[in-house]
Amino acid sequence: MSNAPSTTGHDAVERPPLAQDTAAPNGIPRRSLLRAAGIGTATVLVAGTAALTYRVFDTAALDPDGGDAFDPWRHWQKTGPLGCVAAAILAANPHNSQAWTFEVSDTAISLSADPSRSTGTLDPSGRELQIGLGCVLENLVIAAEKQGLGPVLTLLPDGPTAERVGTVRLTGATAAGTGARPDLYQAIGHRHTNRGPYLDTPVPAATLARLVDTTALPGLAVAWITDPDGRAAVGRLMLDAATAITRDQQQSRDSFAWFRSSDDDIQKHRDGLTLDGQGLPALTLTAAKLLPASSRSAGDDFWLTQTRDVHTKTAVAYGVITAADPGDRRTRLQAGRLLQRIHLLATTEKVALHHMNQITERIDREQDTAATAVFEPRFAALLPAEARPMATFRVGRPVREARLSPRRPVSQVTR
Amino acid sequence: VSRLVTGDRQTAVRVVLAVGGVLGVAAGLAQAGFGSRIPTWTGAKAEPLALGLLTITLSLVAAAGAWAWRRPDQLLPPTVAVICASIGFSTVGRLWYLPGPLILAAALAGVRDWRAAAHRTRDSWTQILLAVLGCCDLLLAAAATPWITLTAATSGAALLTAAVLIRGRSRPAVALVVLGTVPFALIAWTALVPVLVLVLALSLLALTRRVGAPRLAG
Repeated sequence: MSNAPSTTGHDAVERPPLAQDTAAPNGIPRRSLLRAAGIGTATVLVAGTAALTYRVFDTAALDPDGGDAFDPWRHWQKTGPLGCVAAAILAANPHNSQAWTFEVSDTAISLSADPSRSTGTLDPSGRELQIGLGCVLENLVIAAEKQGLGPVLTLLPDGPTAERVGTVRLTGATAAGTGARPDLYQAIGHRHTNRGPYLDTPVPAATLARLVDTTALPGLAVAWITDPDGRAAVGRLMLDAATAITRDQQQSRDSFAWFRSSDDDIQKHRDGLTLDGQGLPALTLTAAKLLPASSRSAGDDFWLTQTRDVHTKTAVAYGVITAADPGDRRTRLQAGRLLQRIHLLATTEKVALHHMNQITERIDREQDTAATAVFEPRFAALLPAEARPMATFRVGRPVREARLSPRRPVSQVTR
Repeated sequence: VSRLVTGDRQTAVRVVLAVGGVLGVAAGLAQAGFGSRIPTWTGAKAEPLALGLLTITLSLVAAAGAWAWRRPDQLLPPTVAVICASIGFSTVGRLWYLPGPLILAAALAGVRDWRAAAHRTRDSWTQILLAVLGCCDLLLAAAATPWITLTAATSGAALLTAAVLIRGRSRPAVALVVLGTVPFALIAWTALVPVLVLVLALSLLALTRRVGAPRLAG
């Protein structure tokens, strides 16, 4: 290390004095002051950039669909019973809680609920959980049909209150690839909930009609709300329900529990909702990721804003699956099958779909707490007579593509 | 060994640095090879292979200091070694508890005159800031899609090289910064940081050219 005095600075260069070298009132040469200010500012900016860099790294902003948590979307087209499960776990489900376990053998696949992954007060009667399991069963049957495994589905094989919700026997009765709905099988890997804005282009009534296939699903119907007044009324109800949920501390907490704000959390839990899944514009998404993880109240505010300014504002149609008895477990499973079928058909038609269940979540919460029914009568007034709501969603042509949601691998959900 | 015995401090420091680097490579190999089977030792990382490879790279870079650190007044080798050793504490868990402190100790023990080092650090500050921006890009490369990883790593390497070259050859340094950072900023502008890195790197170059080339602490 040189012990020479520090005469190496730029001010030490011999040359005639310049105007900028003249001393400032405090006696320090102006040039030195300017240099120090420039270097100081640059240091602060570089330090800030380094901090932002860490946030980009930590939230995987440059590889949002990367890592093991998203692998199930890339490697799901496998053969055999486990291949069917690989397709099944990509089903729609409430808050991406993935409350399921599978028992797999060469001749049958059984599906049970995992109550430890319930969404709590958001779903006090288990409505959403059972509808989600119905979605899983639909994927399971479609995948088994595609492989020619001759699936025969039995709902609630051990009775209406038993743990097992469905068993698919693999009879091998058909040839591979002869399933009735090969296009739906291909759609399984492309189906994603799209929470972003939709174009104001209407979805034709004929297209909406094609989305609904109630084959082998008796007692279910879909009410489409497409007229501006009806949409506005549903939109107001959606926003009111979302507001009620955010004001209900327990529901707000139960909702926030399923939000994953960092890539570490996403890769660790492989479930829940993410910022990438919110359908935000690229720059807004980056800004949201660079900022510190949001609090529950900030998350609630964000949801309300999105519900008001994006979800309800750009919905060109709402669909409501209805049944006479929404509390019946078998009906819920069947509704789930229909919901998944609708979403897969929407995927083949390039129609975006966003599950919006805040109204039914409030209906169930009011019933669970014996509160005065507010949302049930308001929603009933918007639906056909005798039609009671099971699940609600909006559809439209998307402004941007939906992103993948994290998934637990087959190995974690089978036994 | 004879120099060690006869008390040649610089040689001793270089030997310890090399040993730390070799042990670090071994730790990286363990993490990459079977890290998931010994999670209590390797920090239970989600991506042991990638982190193992990163650790090997860090160790090799630190060990390269043993070769490059010929004079005690050089600051670049120990600085790089300290950075590598610090990052290593987050990549392989307990396996870094031996190589990490060895590298750190060697790097710090090799600096003889801390006051002069402080002076040189001050004189090289713009280079250091440029190098930090290069490290930012390298960190971004570690968690990106393959194409962006390649672009980010190129940008990071260009900035680090420019930080070294800027002493006497500012034109190549400017070319490196522009060619390295502009493509990355274009391809990943939505992440904002690559654009910030580009703007700051160019600003630092402008600052350097305006006030004169800094002295290099390397």
